[in-house]
Amino acid sequence: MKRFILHRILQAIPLLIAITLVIFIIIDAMPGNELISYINSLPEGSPRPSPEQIKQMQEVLQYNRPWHVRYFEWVFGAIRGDFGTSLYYRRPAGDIVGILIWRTFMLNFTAMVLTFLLAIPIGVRSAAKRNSLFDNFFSTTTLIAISLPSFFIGIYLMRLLAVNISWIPPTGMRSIIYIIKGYPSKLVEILDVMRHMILPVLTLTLVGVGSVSRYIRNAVVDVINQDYIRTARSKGLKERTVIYKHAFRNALIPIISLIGVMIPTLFVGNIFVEAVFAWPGIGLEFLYAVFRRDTSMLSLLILIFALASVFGNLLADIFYGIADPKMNAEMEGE
Amino acid sequence: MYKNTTETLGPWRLAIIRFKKSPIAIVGALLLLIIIMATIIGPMLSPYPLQYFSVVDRYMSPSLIHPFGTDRYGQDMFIRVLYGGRITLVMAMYSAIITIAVGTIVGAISGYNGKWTDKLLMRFTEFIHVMPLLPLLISFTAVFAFKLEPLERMMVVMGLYGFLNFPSLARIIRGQIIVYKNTEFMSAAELLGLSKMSKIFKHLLPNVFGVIIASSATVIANAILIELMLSFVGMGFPETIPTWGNLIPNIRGANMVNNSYYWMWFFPVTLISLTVISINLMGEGLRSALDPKEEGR
Repeated sequence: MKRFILHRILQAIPLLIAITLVIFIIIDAMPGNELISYINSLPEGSPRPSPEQIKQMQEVLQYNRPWHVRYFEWVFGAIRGDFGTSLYYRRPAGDIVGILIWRTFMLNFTAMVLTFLLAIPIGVRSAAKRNSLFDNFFSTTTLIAISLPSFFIGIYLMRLLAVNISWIPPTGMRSIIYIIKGYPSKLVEILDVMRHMILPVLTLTLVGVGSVSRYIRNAVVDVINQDYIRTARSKGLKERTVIYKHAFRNALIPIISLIGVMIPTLFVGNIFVEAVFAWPGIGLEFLYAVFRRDTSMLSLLILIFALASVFGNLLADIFYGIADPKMNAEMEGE
Repeated sequence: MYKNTTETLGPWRLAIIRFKKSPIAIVGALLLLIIIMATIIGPMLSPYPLQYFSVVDRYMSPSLIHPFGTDRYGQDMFIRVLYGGRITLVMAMYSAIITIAVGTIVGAISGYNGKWTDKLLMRFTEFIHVMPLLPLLISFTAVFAFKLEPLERMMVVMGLYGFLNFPSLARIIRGQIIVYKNTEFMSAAELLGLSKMSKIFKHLLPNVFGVIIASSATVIANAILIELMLSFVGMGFPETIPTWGNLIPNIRGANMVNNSYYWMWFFPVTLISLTVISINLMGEGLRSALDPKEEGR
């Protein structure tokens, strides 16, 4: 097992290198650069640099070197933890992302906890009462939830809860009054941020419940068809005990591995949900970075996306290995 | 055509019977058919040409003359939504065809050949699979932002999406091909000395056809969503072209949901939702109809 995990981790490294290379080529191929879009974003009427000055600045910022030179420089910088400086923020990109990633994590972690709290009862009950009204109702509604893009659900919810009944703020992370005046106390700040979290968390939860409850249902159905469940039933145990003590416990392995696989995605989140609710996290920053051509920000953000995806796959492989004895045997052979 | 003299039920007939038993799948298929027909026929019968706009009729709420209301240029939303459906659905089909073609070919060759071809292709598939798809696609669109015409750019991007989306399908097909590779009829084909191409495409793939069809529903639904997502972040077709992605609220006009002209987003969003849901319902029906293992589920 240890050898298998090590093997997979070693395999992931060339994968990451290849991905960063592809990313760098794409970012390099984008028309325009950080400097030009920064100058274009200056407010109307402010003095603009002359073409000669721009040329000079580009030389200072070393934009005219070939991409492979910059790539290697970026890679060696990244290993040392230096991801370059964002011209827009005039601060190291790593510092900015360090703040943003926790905002995204906060949102997605809350949503994941809620998702599993809702999805486990739904999934287990659907599996226990297969083809009942309960099962059919939830298998249809969850199918609808996974069919819809997350931002559609977000738009409907925003209209319903934030516009029609103006309960909760539709967008942002902090109220404008507090942004201007500052928070009177820490508690007010926490409450304000929590109020803003309601809508995006609700959206992410609805999206998550769709796929997770279906997954749990199938995992439990697989277990219910096993012989030991029949034994448990024939012993005359109560159906509740059979389902929750015998079936659900055995279905826990795939469920826990699903949680494991989802953990890396918590740091990446959903670009579109963040965009709909203007939640200042990684996803929204990525979109802005594309528009700003913020090279150091873009390369760092895509590196994080790639890392999350590579780790997610790695964990999935490892968990499958643990859960499936047949795979285990194959690994020993390798 | 061969004549069926005795009453035997082939796998296809059985699949059709099973498909018919699932009411949800039938509803999905009918709804999808209606929407597709409407997008084809609707714009032809419309009294308002696509470029028609009238300043007097701006922001009209839904009525008999304008079932979905009018937008800020006085253009009829109903026709724009149907016209947008044409573009989006064609783009989605185009992208899905690429996914299915690449996925099938890679999966079949990899599954049939095994050994180093399999290893190489699967490593490549894994590489594509772990790529962060959406960020990559958004960055890629930005590359062509000024270089290509909007239509060409979308063709390239949707084509690229189609290609990058192939891994999951390729893996499914590879698994199926490996299952069928060791069956008796393949040994018979081997004995007949058929060529490799004929063995793969004439004898193995037809058995996997059901899986391909069932997966293609999801592929098409996802391709529709990609067009929406690209437009949502302002990287799809230019605003003037009514695609489904452009008719829904996006980053550029984020206030759309908050204002009182609810019909400007509600009808497109709902129609698109219905389309995607019906495709998925149909796909679900197809999957359980074509997969005998699903019977007990």
